[in-house]
Amino acid sequence: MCDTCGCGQPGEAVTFRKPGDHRSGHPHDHHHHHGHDQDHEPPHDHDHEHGSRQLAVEQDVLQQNNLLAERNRGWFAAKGILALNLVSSPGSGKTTLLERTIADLGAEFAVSVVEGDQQTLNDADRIAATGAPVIQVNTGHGCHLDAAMIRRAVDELDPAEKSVVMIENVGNLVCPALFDLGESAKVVIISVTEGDDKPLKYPTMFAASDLCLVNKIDLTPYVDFDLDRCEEAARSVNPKLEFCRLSATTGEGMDRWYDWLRARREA
Amino acid sequence: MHEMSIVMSILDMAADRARAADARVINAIEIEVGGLAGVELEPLRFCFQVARRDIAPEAELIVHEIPGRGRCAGCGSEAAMDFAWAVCPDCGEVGLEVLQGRELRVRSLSVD
Repeated sequence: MCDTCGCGQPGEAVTFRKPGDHRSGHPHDHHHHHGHDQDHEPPHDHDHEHGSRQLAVEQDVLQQNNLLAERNRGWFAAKGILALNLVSSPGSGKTTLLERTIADLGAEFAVSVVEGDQQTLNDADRIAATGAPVIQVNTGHGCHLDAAMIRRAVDELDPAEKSVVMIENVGNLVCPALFDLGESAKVVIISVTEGDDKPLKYPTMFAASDLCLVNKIDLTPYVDFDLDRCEEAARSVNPKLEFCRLSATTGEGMDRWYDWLRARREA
Repeated sequence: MHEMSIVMSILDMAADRARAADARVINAIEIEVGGLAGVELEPLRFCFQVARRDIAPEAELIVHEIPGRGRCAGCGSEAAMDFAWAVCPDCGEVGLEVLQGRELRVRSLSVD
């Protein structure tokens, strides 16, 4: 799987950085294999017979990503690591949620973070301030993380056994639904400053998730967001979806999320 | 716009297969796209036009659409699915088990 998206940029445009790390867009050997030589020779004649022929392929297009994702999943399982893929629109409060979660649970178990954004180290800097190990993956123009990026990021992070790896995907409710990273579960986050019909507008992501965190509930008095209507909409696309209503800013409702995390770690 | 990643994967896969068979040029790539695969055909075709090059400079993309179809876990009846979260038309149970429609495959190539 090519890790680029939208513009055909070369794989080297994806960067992996840690806070305080000043390398930028360094073209070292981290880009993963495309299934072909980068230096194409121009088409040349062979002395075999010409004439159109049909070649069978019968291969899944996402096969390479899915195989890598399964390898990641096996690696996490072998180490007893709970890996969560956090998906949402931009601005739903994923990073604030992680900051508070790390502050509250950091003594209970180790948490490390893979931050996915198109640009900047801003989120990684915020996580680093909590003391948790973090790596920032900047996807350039790319709209999602893929399994190869996670492999590379986790190699650099080297998370401890029985720890939790939080993968904060690129803020986007569409494309990340299609790319398996090898996570144990997807957690979709929606905030009350968005529309309560979002699960109906972006059903694929809600259908693919195990848990839905409804964030910023401290703001409900000021916005036209119906919590029940939102959950009902989300259940209509995924009857098994679980919910936690919370505010990562005030801490209200965070206990249920923590209980879910503890239960998943035991599972 | 994950369609561009998908197109790049299709072209990589096709180029590998064509070179392995000593082909000079790819004339057409035949793919299967299920209605529940999460891929839109219009951007897929557009990206393909933009991205085809090297061994496939003018390749045609032939798309076989595979309609979504599922089975109800409750009553066992089968129904067409336009979305991954269909409701059983017979008993009203939510969430059909997908039988077909998630396909996203390269079926074959036509080469010279």
